[in-house]
Amino acid sequence: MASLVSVRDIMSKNVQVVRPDTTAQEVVATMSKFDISSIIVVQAERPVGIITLRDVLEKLAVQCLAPRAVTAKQIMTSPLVTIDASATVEEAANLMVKKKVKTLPVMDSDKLVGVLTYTDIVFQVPTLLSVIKSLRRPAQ
Amino acid sequence: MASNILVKDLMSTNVHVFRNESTAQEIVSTMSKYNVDYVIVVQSAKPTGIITMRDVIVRMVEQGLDPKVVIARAIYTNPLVTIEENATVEEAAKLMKDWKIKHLPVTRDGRITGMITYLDIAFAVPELLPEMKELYRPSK
Repeated sequence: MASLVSVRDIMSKNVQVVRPDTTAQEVVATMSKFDISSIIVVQAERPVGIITLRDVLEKLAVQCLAPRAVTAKQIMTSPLVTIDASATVEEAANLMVKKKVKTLPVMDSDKLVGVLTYTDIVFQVPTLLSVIKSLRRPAQ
Repeated sequence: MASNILVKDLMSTNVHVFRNESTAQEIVSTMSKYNVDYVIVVQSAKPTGIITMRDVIVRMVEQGLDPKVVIARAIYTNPLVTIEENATVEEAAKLMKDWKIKHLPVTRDGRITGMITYLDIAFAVPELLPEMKELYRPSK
């Protein structure tokens, strides 16, 4: 049953992070190297924000800002919506829908231990497809 | 049954088309304005390439190229695998698997009419979800 699967069971444990003062150029280089679409910004071991490819598009490419002069802190989305590792995937799905986010950093106590995306839910707990359907971009 | 569902029933028509000579700046503006993750490049009415948000961001931000100068032809991915809109979703799924691609531009008589993605299929056709899962890459 979907409600028995915990976030810890299906999250990605290989989390890439950057610091608030990392340049936008390094942020993109890291996303490119690891072929990821979002990255967590961490300060003093606590996650403080998230940067998606779309954030980079909106805040850098559209406005034509110099990627070496802009820092992660300036383009990140903050505050973060996080989920506890022991929460159920169903709770995570409902949180994503409520907050309209597709990526949730996963916490264990105060520590960042993973990331859960809506694609993880699609393929690992497809019984929740109907819950997360609204996160899909409208087809037209 | 899945075989009754055609590509044109599931595809998105929110597809934006550019010419070989269009600039990265024009493409980025469209991705932002219309909230799309990719555009198609067309020459003489024939689709010749695809540009994803990641492609354009890496070129602009990581490599520091000037978006007013870089043209579509310099950053697109080609050759382009496409599918006719009257094909079945099974055919689309097979093509995606064979080519290991998540986006498939859709054509009618060789002209672009839409786009179908592996997530469109995963959400709409549960029988094909296991096949689409092969394209999903959980980052452990």
